[in-house]
Amino acid sequence: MITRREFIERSLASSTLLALGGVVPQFVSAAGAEAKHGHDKILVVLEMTGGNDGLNTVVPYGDDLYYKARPTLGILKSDILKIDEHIGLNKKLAGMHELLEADQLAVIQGVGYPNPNRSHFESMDVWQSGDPARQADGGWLGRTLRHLPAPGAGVVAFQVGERKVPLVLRGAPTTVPTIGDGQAFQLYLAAPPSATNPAAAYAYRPSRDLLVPKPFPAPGVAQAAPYPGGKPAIAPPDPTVAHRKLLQQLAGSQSASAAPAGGMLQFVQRTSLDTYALTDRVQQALANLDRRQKANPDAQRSSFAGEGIGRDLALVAQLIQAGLGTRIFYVAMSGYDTHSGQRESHDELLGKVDGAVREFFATLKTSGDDKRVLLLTYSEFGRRTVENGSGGTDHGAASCLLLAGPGARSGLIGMHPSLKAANLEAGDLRYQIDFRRVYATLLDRWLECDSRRVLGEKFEQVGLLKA
Amino acid sequence: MAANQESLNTLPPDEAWRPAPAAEWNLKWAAHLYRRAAFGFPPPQAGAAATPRQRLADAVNKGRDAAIDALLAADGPTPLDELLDRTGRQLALQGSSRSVYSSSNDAGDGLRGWWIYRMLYSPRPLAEKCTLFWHGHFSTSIDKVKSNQWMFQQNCLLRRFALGSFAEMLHAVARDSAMMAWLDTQSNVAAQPNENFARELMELFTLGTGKYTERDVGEAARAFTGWTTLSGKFYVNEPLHDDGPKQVLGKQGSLSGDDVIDVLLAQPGCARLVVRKLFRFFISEADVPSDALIEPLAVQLRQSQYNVHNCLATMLRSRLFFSEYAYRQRIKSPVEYVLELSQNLNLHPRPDSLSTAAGNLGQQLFAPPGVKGWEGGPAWLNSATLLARHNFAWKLLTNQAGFDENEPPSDGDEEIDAAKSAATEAFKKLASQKGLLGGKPRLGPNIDMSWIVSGANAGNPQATADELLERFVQSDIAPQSRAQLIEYLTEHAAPRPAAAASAPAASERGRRRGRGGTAVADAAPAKAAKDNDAAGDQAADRLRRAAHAILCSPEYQLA
Repeated sequence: MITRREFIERSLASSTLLALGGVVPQFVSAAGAEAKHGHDKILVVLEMTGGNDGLNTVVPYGDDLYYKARPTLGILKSDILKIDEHIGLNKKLAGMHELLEADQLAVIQGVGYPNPNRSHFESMDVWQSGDPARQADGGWLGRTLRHLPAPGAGVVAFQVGERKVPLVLRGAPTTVPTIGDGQAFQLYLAAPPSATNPAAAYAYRPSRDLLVPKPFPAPGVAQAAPYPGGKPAIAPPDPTVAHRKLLQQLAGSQSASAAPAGGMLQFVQRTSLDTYALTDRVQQALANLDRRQKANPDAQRSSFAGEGIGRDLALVAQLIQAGLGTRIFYVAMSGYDTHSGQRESHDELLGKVDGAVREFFATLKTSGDDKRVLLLTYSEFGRRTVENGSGGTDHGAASCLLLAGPGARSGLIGMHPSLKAANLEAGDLRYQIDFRRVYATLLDRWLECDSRRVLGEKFEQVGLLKA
Repeated sequence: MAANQESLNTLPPDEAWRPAPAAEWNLKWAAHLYRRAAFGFPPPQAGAAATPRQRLADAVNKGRDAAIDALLAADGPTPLDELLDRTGRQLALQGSSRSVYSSSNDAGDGLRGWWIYRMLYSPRPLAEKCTLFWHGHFSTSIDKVKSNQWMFQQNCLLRRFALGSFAEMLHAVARDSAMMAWLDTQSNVAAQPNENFARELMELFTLGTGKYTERDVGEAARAFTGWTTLSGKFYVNEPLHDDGPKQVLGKQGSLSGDDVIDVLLAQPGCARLVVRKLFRFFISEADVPSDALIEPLAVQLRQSQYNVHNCLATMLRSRLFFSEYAYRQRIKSPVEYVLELSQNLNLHPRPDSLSTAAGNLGQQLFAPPGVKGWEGGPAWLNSATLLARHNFAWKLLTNQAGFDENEPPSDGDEEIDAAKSAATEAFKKLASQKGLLGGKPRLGPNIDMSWIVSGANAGNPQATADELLERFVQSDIAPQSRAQLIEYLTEHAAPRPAAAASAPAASERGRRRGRGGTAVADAAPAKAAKDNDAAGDQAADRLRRAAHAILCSPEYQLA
């Protein structure tokens, strides 16, 4: 593991950044101090976008009111993966149930906040900002990054998956980088095929192949000999080096624009410079990982399980094993807004999450990294207790969270919210655990980051973690 | 992004919206206008062969008012429009029996390519730009709708009202099959109402959060019960409709869905929300405009029965639009980026290749990411999408983008293959309409570097740099960047053997002629030809890399 200082020196020496008058990639300069060995725990947060139906995820199968509210959507008792006599998991969560039995899954019930908002975007903002009053600056993970040391001055946080940087990661001293595909995460500047440099013919490739460089060239290595007829006396310089330098120069130029503040231009400049520096770092780490794994055939290689969440979590596992020093990963999976035809779509979604999480921890176990990783799922709200006429459910309120990993205190946490009409709030489940208590517990006891500095006040802890 | 918020909002609104003086008109402002109100360039004129660059130069000569008038003109449908309508209908039928669609399903690619084609060649690019805007506003995805035909119908609806009445459009969208499938109106029944459409109607289409209560949502949902489609046609299933008394935003009665829409349109907040979204799409993503700045346009919109054309006319002619508060204060969306890139390079790839590229960069047409549409602004760019833009530009420049006018290989699925064949035929047919389109549309991968720099400038690093900068960023880039570009072109000038000195493009031209064989130069001995080729390749490579760097510059990412 190189030290922070070495890393900065190395990354600067290999680029033209020193000549750019102080515009240094942000992720490099951000991390304050190095995390000490053993204090480098990782939190993976998985967003279920759209409002996951908590009642059909963690099911109160012992309550007749559940089956009354869900005449067509209720999950048969015989299909439940039981936790106790009243509560069980949706049958699609077999992997989660295995984790539970292996003492690695906390099921946190009845989580929410006062005066629940039923707009996707408003409620998501509440969860992501960590502030129901919406006065906080940025998101709770973004603010956490102001205080979080990373080992080896690495890349403290990643969003994995190709989407916009969400509110939850904003407010950090650095822009949290987004990576969707390890192989595509590089500048592809190889020389094109030509008469004197015939390369493979490029076939029509309709989908993402358009953007994924093939083959995978080592950085700085020219693709094919430009003189197939015989070697020239002096090898020509690799044209990608000067090209790369020019890109960095154009991204770092002082703006000549007369724009009032050049806000948009500065944003793009910084994103460009950060990205150029980051891509080398990631490629190097992934190449090292690849070498290590090839040298050790016993180590399981994370398999890219198709598209979506499986693929994203596989990349998270790879980045953890590559040792980039990352402490926070954020992934998201959409499709949970099940207003109609819920049974099939919700089962499919849960099945995908379940398989992805199971594979994720199995991969991490092979390298011993699983012990320092916790994965938290959440959604902007649960769904209405009573199903609608479309075989679906409308927007609701309180719901359940799942916390997976060897560090989690396994079992049910808190009571399942009551389904009695008198206890519902406008037809929705009432919360018992304020979501910020969950955040505070993870901040103080897992990430070792003072929760008051992130959440603005002290919250009572929840017993989510092993002692 | 908040840095200049104060200054924008200290502008007196009546000053901001007053027409800009026509005198201030040059290449920079023409490019600005066409980036916003079109897809980077004036549309091709029927029968006139002109490159995008020439069309932009013509617009500068004709003057600002002529340019804006032409963009806003509401001419009747041209023969090209009719051809495009027919082609779209035909493509929409492809793959219609498929039970499973998704945003990545190739069965929808023909339709995406068709819309891209319209954006590039329609005589009314502003209508296409507005259609794209409304597609984001009334965000609907094929992922859930699962019908090419319905998505096509909705697209036609949005185009019909693109510059018309927002009020009429809202009533029509509420009855649109794709929308009714997307937000579950068709399964909203009196016994167990489904709130999905009623909530987004208030939150996203008209008022915004905080302007209504949960009770309003529930009551409005009842008003839309029984609304459904039968064979793609709207109808109200009376037994499932709740015609009991309701109260929405203070209005009582046995309200129908249309009554609820009228209640919402009568709220002052509705016009404000629409104007704010238009402001962000057409003027600036950098600043949040104050209420005071928005109000004159909101009043105009409401008082004109929601006439979008007049509102846009005010915006596009305004001093604010032609000011630094608007100039390069937006980030190009992926669709804008790929269309401007291909036109800047004067390429005419298969249009479905361009829509696929836009999808990979984060904007898949007919499949926005959720009910709120695309967020736009800084959300378009992160480390992954920035690299994807860079790599796409390089693939385009090096002819590796997989663009091929021939039919793509089989997908192993008969119906998808049939859809691809139909798209190929349709695009070839469109491309053969030379009289209509002007110029010479090419579907093939003819990447010829010779046009990039005119012969007179070819050997001169400074002249080359200036010509590239003029082409791609209207010469508006930091002086430091220009100096670095010149330095790059000077330092990396390849040794030029005498025989190859004619132009860097010479060997490329020769190679195109010689495609399929190994012989390249016509009469030269083999050795000299090889040397020339190598030198020509290096020169072309250098130009390509310089062009790429400009197309990846922060300035080029801004609209």
